[in-house]
Amino acid sequence: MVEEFDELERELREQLQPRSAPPGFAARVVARAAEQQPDAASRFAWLRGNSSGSGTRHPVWQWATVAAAAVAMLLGGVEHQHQQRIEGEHARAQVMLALRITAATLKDVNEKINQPVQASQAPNTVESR
Amino acid sequence: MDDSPQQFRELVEQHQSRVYSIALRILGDTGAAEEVAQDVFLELHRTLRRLEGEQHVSSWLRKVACHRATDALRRRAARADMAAEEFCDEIAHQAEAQEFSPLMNRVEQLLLTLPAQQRAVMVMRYQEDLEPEDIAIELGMPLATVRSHLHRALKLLRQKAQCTLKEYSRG
Amino acid sequence: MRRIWIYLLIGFSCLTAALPAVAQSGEMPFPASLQKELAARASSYSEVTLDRKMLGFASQFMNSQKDAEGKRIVAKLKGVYVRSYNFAKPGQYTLAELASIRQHFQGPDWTPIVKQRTQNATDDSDIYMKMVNGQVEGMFILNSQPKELDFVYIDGPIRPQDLADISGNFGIPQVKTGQNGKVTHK
Repeated sequence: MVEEFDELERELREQLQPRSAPPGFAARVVARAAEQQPDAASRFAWLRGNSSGSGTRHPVWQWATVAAAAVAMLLGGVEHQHQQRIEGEHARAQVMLALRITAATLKDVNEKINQPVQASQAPNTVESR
Repeated sequence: MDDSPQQFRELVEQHQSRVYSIALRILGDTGAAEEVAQDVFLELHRTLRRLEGEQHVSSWLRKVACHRATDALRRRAARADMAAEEFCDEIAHQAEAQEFSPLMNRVEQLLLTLPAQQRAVMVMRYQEDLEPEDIAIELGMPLATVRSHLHRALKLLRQKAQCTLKEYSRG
Repeated sequence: MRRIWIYLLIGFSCLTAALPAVAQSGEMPFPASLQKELAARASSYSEVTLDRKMLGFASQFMNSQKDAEGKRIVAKLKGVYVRSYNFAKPGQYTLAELASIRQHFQGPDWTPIVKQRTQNATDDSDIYMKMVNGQVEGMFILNSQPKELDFVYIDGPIRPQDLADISGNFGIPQVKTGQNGKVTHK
């Protein structure tokens, strides 16, 4: 018995080495994590900080503000697209989860129907059309 | 710990295989395993500041991956705790239907026939190479329960392994 | 395994000859308050609510080969609603609650295909089909176990082959429907 267990344990150790994560896994995680960060506007807080405090704005800062607004709009578009993709992936995962639960439920029902009635139980009834 | 994007990316790259493998071996489904593994890392991202050092991160990931995967398994209502005898009948069907993923090795396939808790403990013991005492701490289980899970799982696997061989030799 | 498919096939055959019926609303066909109560008692639960709009949106992201079957099936559906409750101990739902759910399927649109009853309702199963204008337009599955309760409502046209495909691709050995209507295991 001990030898058999040892052999099995050896096989378990050998065959349960970690497997590689799917290609692109880390990139997908990092992208999703970026979604958890504070919103894009706060990333430009440094610009607001520099332009406030003095009574007048230097033209460079005005141009910088315009440029920042343009970049923010561009980023907003990219962000929106990215957000759409994340939501789409989530919706897809929900569909797959729903189908998996449906499959498991059908399997359970099928197993029950095929199960012989146990003598110890109260009379079960199975009907079908 | 520092939660900068660079640091986070490095941690994901360093631990992704282990976390994914824990989820895969508990869930037996590559798609679901990736979903769980991703969620675990996102949770890490939110928690990183509260963790102290590499060792803490590593053990935190192991623990959370295990819990999230068993939760997902429960949600899926995938009950694999069939008795060894039932497995013998089942295996004939499965061998014919090729239900098991060809990507999973024999040990992984056998592991998927164990109840969820036993599966989790076995992954901690043989993939993560943890001693029963450490498994008890990481999974928040009494040591006696861990030992009992390990003992029962090994016994069941031995029966099932023999059974598999029997069925294959029939074919 | 074979028996459920035979039941479903017979059910479909009977129902396609049935009288036209009126379509019903596109959401889980029993009260949200009961769903909330069950969720509150559950140690864990899954709720998936996908209306036509969400299914359409999700379909745009189901482009890999492994998603193809799922995409084909959901393309024509109006909704998929799943509730799965796991309880820490038995006795967390009552016979009366199950009866109140079944009440929603007593109307002329719904026909029971599978009905299994056990003492205390701890191992019951029901499958109902919804008919609209002679077409199968929905399916409701109720499955109870001592520590678990599952409901699946598929709103929209669904064929036996779709069910076989769902089970074949999402966890159950595939069942093939032959030309003569017979069901066979792969």
